[in-house]
Amino acid sequence: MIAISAKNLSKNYEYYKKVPGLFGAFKSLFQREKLITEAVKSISFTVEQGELVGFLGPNGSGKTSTLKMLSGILHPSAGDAKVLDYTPWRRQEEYQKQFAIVMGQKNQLWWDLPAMESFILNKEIYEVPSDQFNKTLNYLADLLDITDILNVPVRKLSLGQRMKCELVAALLHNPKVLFLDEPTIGLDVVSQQKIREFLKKYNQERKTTILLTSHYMEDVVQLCKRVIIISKGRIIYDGNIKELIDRYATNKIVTVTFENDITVDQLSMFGEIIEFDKRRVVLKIPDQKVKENAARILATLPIDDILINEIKVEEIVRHIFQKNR
Amino acid sequence: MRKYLKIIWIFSKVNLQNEMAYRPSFFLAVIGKTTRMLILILVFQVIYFNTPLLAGWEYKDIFLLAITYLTIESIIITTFHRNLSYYLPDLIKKGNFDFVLTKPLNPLFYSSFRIIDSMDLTSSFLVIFLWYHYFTHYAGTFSLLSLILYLLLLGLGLIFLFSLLVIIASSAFWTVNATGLGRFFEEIVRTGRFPTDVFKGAFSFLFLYVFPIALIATVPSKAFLGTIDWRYLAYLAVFTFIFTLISKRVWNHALRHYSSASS
Repeated sequence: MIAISAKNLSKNYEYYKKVPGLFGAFKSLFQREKLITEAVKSISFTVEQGELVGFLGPNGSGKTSTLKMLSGILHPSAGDAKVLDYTPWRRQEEYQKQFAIVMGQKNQLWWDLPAMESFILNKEIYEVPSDQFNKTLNYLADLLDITDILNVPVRKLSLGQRMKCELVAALLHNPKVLFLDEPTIGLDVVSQQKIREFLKKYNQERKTTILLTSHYMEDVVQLCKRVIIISKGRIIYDGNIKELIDRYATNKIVTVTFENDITVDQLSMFGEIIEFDKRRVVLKIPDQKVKENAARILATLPIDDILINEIKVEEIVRHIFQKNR
Repeated sequence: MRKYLKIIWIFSKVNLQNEMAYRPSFFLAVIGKTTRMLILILVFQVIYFNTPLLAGWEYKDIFLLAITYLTIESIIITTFHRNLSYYLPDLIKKGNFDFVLTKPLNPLFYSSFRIIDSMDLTSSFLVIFLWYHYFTHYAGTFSLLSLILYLLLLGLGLIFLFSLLVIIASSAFWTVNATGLGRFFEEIVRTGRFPTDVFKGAFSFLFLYVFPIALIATVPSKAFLGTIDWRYLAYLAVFTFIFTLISKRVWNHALRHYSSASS
């Protein structure tokens, strides 16, 4: 069953050109030039119920605008979208009670009060019965390991703890669809990993449909089977991460350490040199030549160690973005 | 309705807790609000008790007009005034209005009552005292009908001011930097503390029919005193109804225009 569908969804932003300086500011009071940015350009995709899809794109690619249209914050300039059969920007209460959005860069918790106060407010806003509220809160607090900080003022919490509380606030009404916009931004590696583990488990247990945007490839690689890549407002890839790797990872990364000093000339014939030190080199070698070239390196150079790795997904995506710039 | 009352209760409770979260600022706020209350009494005395008969109004009637104004002011200050004038533009500017639009709660309700400052209730004590003084010294005998009519008109005045502020505050969706809005509204409300009879000619017409600030204090007071024309009341009822519809449309149009802040 389809939970989210977008059809030729577009979003344009209008703004006025700012001329620098005092004179420019004065002039723009009377005469200003209107400009239009096409943030999202006719994108179409569907997400099945229970799916966890990664939405990847560089800054300004249109991923947050898309999420904001799907959650009803923004009206699209053209096209249509349905989430759980509702048109999001109609902002019907029945729909709003079935989805949640978490934005890593914004918080909805009361800053000076314990998170529990914000949870109670959400309980009333979403009309969650008391027994269900207690049950869900216990489940989430346990899973995120935050039982002991529920009554600590939010301003005293670390960024990681705050993000966990933001997730609890968003999930108290058991939404069927969850939009996550950069949920791990700014977190340390350990906190990032904890949030990922939570999301994975939550998605598996509750079968919640999750659309996740992130700058961190690790989020997407660990959590999502499917990825939608968006660049300059257009979808440039929509499919399995594994297929993405197969399609674009046509090289392997070979790291070699040597017993004696060597020169660039001795290595350039084997592949593209990415890093070079007298006793260590990192080479990019086309897939079909890896075996042959590795054997030649072993046979002709004073090898101490050799490692053959896949190219990181991060590299692949960066390559795709650069190609579409 | 029950849900909204519960949420208003949570808002007031939470804001009181918020006020008390920082001890020094809590005590400063108490001092600030008390000072404001004392200044209000002073202004009240200076304006109304040192002025000879004002546009045909006797002292006791002026007293009623003044407490009507103070009652209205006290209600709007405790509830929607600061929310729509100052906090809403801030929510819009920072992009936090996003959350308001995703919740199963009327965005106008949230924007108008999110911060219920219980500390503002301090000025209500003054108003209650003044009402007590009025009823024990000046009111004399009055009919139940005039009291009911007075309360209805007070409500109509509040609806008029609320709609007016909604229209003014909606402009924050376009201007974003809506710093002057609150002051503009405050000046309009302040004009309402004088009996509109003091205005002559075009201004009189303006404040009675085109932009009836008479509704703020003059009209309810006159209704209580039994000196109001029913045809004018009917006009005000229709005017406020249409004005409220317009403000609702403006607000909805503004919501469509919301472009959020970049993340």
